[in-house]
Amino acid sequence: MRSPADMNTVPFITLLRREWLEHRTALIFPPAAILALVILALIFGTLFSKKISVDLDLEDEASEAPSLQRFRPQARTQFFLADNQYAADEEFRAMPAVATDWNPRGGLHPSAQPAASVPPLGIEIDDEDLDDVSSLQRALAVPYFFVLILVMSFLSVSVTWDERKDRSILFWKSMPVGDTRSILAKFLFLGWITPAATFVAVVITQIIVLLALDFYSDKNLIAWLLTSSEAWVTLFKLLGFTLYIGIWLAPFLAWGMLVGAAAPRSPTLIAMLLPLLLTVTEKVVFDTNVLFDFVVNQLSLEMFAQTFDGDVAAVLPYIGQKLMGVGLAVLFLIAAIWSRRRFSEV
Amino acid sequence: MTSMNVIEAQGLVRRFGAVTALDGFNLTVPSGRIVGLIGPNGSGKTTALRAILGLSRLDGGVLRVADCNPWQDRSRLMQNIAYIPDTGILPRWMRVRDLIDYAEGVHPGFDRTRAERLLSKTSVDPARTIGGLSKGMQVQLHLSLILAINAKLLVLDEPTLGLDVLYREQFYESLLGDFMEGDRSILVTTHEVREIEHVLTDVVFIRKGKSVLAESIDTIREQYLKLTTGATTNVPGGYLSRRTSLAGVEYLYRGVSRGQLEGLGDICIPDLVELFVASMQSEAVTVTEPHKETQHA
Repeated sequence: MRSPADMNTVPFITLLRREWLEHRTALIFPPAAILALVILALIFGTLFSKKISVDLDLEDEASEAPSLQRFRPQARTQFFLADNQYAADEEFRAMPAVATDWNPRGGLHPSAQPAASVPPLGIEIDDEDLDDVSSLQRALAVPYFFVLILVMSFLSVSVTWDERKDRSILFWKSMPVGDTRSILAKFLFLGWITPAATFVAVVITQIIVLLALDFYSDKNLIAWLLTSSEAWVTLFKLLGFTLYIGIWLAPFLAWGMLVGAAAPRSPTLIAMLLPLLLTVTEKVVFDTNVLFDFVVNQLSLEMFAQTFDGDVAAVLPYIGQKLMGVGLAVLFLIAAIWSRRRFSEV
Repeated sequence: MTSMNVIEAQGLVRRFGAVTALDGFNLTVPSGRIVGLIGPNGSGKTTALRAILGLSRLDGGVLRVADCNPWQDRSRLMQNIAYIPDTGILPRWMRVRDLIDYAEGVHPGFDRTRAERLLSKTSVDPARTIGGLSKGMQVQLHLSLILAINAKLLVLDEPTLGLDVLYREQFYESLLGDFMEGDRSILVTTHEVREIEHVLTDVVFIRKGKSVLAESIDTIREQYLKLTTGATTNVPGGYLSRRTSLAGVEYLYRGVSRGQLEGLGDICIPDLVELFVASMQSEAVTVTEPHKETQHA
């Protein structure tokens, strides 16, 4: 038996765990699939590319990895020098400054700087490279968050619909857990646990990819990641975005939950078509775009971007919109609680 | 409401559009009793149970269950009530051990040790998902969970529907052996009267949303008589029902002494099925004060 204080916290954690168990497949498989694709891309890139370059800045500056010759002896490695000149591996190694500071793993040691008499090398470790790592971090996160939004959209309906469809709602209701607590747990799971799981997947992918690049290239990217403030800021921004998603998508998630809790059938279709129908009706009847504008403004990420750029003044115009979104989400959640109480089964 | 009664329902009304599912339904379930709510399909049994469980609101009447208003206090009510419905409602995607974790996590009256002990008597593997269990195993699992809850009242809605004879027998054995102790009560609905006849202490017949008979089994044995006689025999009036069978004409009496019927034919105590059939066919069956005798006991 537990004390009343325990009964306030333990069930809520249990409810979140239940949501996780029910929907973990939807949370684990998509990120796992993306990670598998990333790893496959790395492997295929290594095996089939004639000249493998680690293009960290994602622009036009490439740095070749001499260590690749350990794996691909036939690979042609070149070194980017100043004035658009390239040096072959043996020429590069022969350069006086390089010969003394050559890293056994095949790279130029970060501390090594060419002598003044030697033409400046293209492989330089400077602040721009840190930006490159940050770009890579962000680029790796994009597919995850894109898939996350799709997953959240469908989950928002299924968290309240599936239990009605398979009648397990009668079992959940046979336990001393109210509808309000159940709906709030589902919303918390959707809005914060789901993105948090994705964030973990993003971090894992970043580590794997950077480890791979670190292994293949002459750059100690993991050391950079651990010591670079830029890398941590990027990670912090991603975490901020992860937490922001719950507020950003709150009205849409709550809408999906409401439809799942109330619809007699085809909830996904209703959740998508009903707003569309209302938007068209509003346009035809009143010649206004209030609903459409609300959705577009709510989906805008401008507020988030401005917040992280530190431009507080630029954030203010968006606060009203976000508050309206949160308010609408609260209304939808109240309606979802009301519906779950009344419409147990399909 | 007296604290002796775990359920007290007076004049319950529930409408679904033009259909009146409960039409002034009355029910009293005293503590420590096993009450059978018996009626044909569509008679309002499940609607009544849902109202009792707080799953459905009412359009009229007064209902108190375990000192709670079920619709307003469902969460608190469920701390004292356990429920098994007619078909499998356990989440099929969940593993058995996760389900036990869940029950332990949310139910303050759940005894995990007891649940595991009960489960160990069955062939249910805790590592399996519920969807992989047979229907019989799912019922065993559900029963193990429910019996591990320290509930005042167990509500069963056609719990053995779809089970074979062996499982049905085991089900009621477990129920009587592991649940019924102290002042715990059971409310069970079924249309299979014979199946539960031997476990009941009280019976309520429901027809068209109304309770048409509410008696204890002891009262039925004491107060009801069946007279089987030839078609032309003159019999005393005031019978509850009359029907023709292969043995002759059967008259059902309540409150008539054996001496009044002596010499007119074969006299015996009617079984529940006969009483049920009479109640469903005849408008003349008296709606008795529910469990009057029990309450005064």
